[in-house]
Amino acid sequence: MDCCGNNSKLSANGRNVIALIGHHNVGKSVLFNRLTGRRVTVSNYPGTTVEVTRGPITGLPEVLLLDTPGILTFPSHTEDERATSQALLEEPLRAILQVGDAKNLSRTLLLTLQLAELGLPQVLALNMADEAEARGVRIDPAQLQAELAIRVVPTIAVRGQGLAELEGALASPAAPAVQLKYPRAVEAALCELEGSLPGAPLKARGLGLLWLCGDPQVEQWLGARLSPGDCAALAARRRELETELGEAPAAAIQRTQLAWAEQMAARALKAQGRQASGPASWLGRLAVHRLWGIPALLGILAALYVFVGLFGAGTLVGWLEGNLFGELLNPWITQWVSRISPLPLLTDLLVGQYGLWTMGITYAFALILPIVSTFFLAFGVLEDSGYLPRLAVMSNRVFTRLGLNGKAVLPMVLGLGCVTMATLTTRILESRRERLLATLLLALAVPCSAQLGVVLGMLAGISLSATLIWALVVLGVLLSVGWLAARLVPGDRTPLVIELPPLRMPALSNLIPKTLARVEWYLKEVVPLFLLGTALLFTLDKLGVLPWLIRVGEPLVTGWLGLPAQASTALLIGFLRRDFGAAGLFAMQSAGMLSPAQVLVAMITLTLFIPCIAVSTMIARERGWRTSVAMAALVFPLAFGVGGLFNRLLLLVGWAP
Amino acid sequence: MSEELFRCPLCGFAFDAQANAACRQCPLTRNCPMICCPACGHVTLDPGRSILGRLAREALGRRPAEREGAHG
Repeated sequence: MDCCGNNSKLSANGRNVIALIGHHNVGKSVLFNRLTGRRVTVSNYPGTTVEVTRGPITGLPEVLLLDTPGILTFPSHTEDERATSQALLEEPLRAILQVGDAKNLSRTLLLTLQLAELGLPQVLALNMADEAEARGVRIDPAQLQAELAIRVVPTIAVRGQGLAELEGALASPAAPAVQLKYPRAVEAALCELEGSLPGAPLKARGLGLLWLCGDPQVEQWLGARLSPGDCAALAARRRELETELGEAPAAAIQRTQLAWAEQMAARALKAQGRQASGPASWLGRLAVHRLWGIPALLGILAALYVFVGLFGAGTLVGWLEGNLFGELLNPWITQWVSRISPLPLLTDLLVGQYGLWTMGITYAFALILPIVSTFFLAFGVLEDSGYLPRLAVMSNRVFTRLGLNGKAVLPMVLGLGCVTMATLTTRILESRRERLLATLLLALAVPCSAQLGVVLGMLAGISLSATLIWALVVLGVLLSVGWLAARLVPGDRTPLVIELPPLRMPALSNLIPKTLARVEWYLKEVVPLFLLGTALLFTLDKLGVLPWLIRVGEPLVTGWLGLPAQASTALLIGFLRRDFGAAGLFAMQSAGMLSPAQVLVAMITLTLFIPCIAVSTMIARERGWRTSVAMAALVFPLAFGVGGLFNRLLLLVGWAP
Repeated sequence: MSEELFRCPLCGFAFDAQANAACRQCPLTRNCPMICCPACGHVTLDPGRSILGRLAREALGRRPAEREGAHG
């Protein structure tokens, strides 16, 4: 290659763009954001770049980095790949930064070669070096550098490792020294082409190769610069070559390139990767294993129970509710408000039994906040580690047996985050049947993150067996209703097709902002509702309606569910938000007003309870008011029915935690 | 178009977070940091739309340890 060894200094000419090119899912966007200072939320599964984005490199502000869509190989086929070809032909490129997957070296080097033949200065970032190492893949970057004459930098983009070295390499990228010999007929055609192609930002040989391979973007580019007669002559030469080769030129060219890439990879690999042998891939397989996936799931739930239930709801709530609010803040504020308030009614509104501070704020900050914060953190770990798609796969197996297979599983899993939004997600389901079933199950038995956190917290205060009983009952109801509904509403099923990313260690730099963002969202949404609910209870109490409602609900709440009459208040505010209702029950539990069996019955009833206002409105919007009312009419008696039956069962067996 | 792309934690699809705010479709909440993946429908949070999330991201992003660490 004639430009071998020439360095492209940054100040050399007006070309100031470096194109970031690589396969799909190799961490291009993460690297782009790292290099340009724009940060994206990085979860475990690297995605595809769908738009061309550019930004100045932090360490080289005069250079723009161009993030191109992921490409499979050259010639380009898809629209995304054509955009990459277009960038190569039309951008004022100083160099190419190829991002490659260190785990798949030969695949990476195939693209390296295809890019190298374009003649532009090049740098190769071997990304996900940690995952490669974990799989036993040991690459010798020095060997690659010596053979390719370009800088090869191992990187771990998600952790920002290798970036300083990469920026240094980008400051003076070298043109690659690769001269691949193709079959004689191809070489002859290339020689002829080089003389007849118009001036291009790419090396004529590389452009000729792309044209021989039938790259549509190159054909379009040449069509705009050559006369129709010249284009026809080029096309005739390609047909002639095809006849000589007895196959499409692209096939012969790619076969040669692939053989080179494999040989080069073999030379650069110090140790061949053991297929899926690292702990992450082992855990990834375990998590979806038909047998071992179940104990893995139980292990995750147990960890969740310890962290959210014991630490969040036990230690943190004990400190916040008992010490900070109970002993310090509430007595002081009550005393202070009583002293300065001119009206007893105002005092009552602020610090009374249904006071905005003593109930609304205390519930939101002392009871719920520590629980949901720990839950959000744990949920973020599950999300960033890549367990959620695996949970969908595991759930799918169970749901398939019930006639609920397919994409319908996804809203169920996502409902653990926010049921309102998961109801919206049911739009992705293709049949009306699936949308209806998924909405029903979401409304009935999928607790949202806040509710799940509070439930776990309350049950952890009793025992692990109480938590397991609750989980089995709720899951049993979910599956039974799903099974029944699937038979009552027949129709086609859509299979679940989901890619499983490797399991990864979540990065704190993503986890902490995500958790804090969730906490902020929660406070913004919940505190006003808690205050509204408290004000509603206060008004109903002062008007004498609340005592009447408690009296009316007594046969159901006390007689059937076996709960104290005051639990009616908690169930009433549960209409507003189920976690608000749960907080009321939590306060009763903390005050020693509920026995363990009563807590269990109350939690089962409240989990299966009628969905909160937001979910109900969303159901009405998505499925219509009639469906919303019909679901409420089904869910309400079912929740009380199951709760009451369970109360009887516990009494019968004399359950004690 | 937003300055940054958001990657869905479920399907890996990268998309413009600002153009896919889920709260526009929510009957209750406005201006919450939820976004909806246009590929798989997964609703999650964009820390870039939250004050605490942005502050934490900036604080953690400035850590020198993250910018260094040349490999191999």
